[in-house]
Amino acid sequence: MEAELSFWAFSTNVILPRLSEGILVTLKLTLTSGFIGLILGMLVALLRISGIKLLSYFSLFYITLFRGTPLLLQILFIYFALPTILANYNIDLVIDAFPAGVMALSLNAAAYFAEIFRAGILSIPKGQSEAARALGLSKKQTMLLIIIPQTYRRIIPPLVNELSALTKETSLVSVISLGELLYTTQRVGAKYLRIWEVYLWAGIGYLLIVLILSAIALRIEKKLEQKGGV
Amino acid sequence: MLPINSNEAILKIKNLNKKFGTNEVLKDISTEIKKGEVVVIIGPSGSGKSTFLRCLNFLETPSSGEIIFNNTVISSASNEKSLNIYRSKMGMVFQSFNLFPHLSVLENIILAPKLVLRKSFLKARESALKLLCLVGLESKIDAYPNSLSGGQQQRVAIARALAMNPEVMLFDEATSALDPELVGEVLKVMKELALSGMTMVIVTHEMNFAKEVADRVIFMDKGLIVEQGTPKNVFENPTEKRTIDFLRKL
Repeated sequence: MEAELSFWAFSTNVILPRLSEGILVTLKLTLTSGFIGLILGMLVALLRISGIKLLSYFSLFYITLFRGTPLLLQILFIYFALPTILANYNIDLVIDAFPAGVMALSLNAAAYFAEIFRAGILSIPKGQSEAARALGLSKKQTMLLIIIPQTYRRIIPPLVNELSALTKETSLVSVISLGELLYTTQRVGAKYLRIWEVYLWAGIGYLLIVLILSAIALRIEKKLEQKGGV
Repeated sequence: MLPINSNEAILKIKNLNKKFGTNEVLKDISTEIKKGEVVVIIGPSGSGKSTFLRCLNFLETPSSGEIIFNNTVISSASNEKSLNIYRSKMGMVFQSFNLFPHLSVLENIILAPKLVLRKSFLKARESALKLLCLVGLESKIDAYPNSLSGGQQQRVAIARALAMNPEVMLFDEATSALDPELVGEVLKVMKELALSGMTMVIVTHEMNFAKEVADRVIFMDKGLIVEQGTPKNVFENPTEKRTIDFLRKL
């Protein structure tokens, strides 16, 4: 009988309640992976510029690996292949779809975030760290208190870029049957055979998340602008 | 000019060499800087005077040679920690000011005293206020660097360096990036500092300032100290051909 409903009735009665569950999972995936990815990415960036060869090669290897292979493959690898590998070492690990998805997404995003952070750090004029060092600040203090704070405003636009990409990439986690937005969409669409309505709302859902993220970023940017314009 | 306090050398520079690749920028420089002495280094661009100054606080690591600062040997073999301590006692003022743009004037000045000298906020703020009065910018305490003119920024930078109670102040072409009408206000602060007995090493193109303020003028060319002496000797009776040529072109 759902096939008889008008577009609006079908949307409000059937699609939106189901899709809002999916959108919550997508939002959780995005925020968790985004957060972990940012921290991990900063770490990878700092290793890259540490000046210690072994660490910077490790960082480069990490970035190459996660940027150079498809995210879809990474998701499948972590969900399906990792437990079998670990089983060979008698480690019994079953990863649920959500943590597997978060792991793949944050490891992947960290590679991109790392390069954004590194670019931000390299863009600060050398005179800034020289002035800090000349005052007796250590390398660590200089990085944490002088250099990194100055990168915030510069890296917000590329970070938002990457976060929007991440939002949409969460849809790939549907391949391991995690009930996020796309997976839910496909299920609803298949059940009621009203395909275009469902996909339309899914699209709006993703768009909404990205718009909210951009709006938050814009506010942060404005706020930073008031403070010294850096 | 104040008499130089003693014959005690605060900095002894021994056989300082600096190479960038195969390019020898400093060739075996040795000299001493006495407590309270104002040394002005002049010379054509590329003569190594800025590199020399930057080697003095190890922003540039010398290829060889050492610096003896109050009986402590500082060389490329010194560890990070002792270099940081050494640097904190050498104030430096840069051509491009290098104020921290994300921090207010006050924050710029008290950052290092709080972190390095472990001063309390109140104590650091108190001396920051005094220094801002000294450079005539007490009204700008909460301003951000980007809202200040070049001359004001450089005066804040001088206050920031002084907040560490340095034993030596290094000036690397501190007025070269300023509009001509702003040069005077910075030179005035530097002159007052010199009169107060601060040990200063100044790289500059302001010859009149050098004549007026310097206890000793060093003329450098091609990585060497070509000639040095009192301003009167170097400017009025130079003996080396390269010095004469340089001064004639001014």
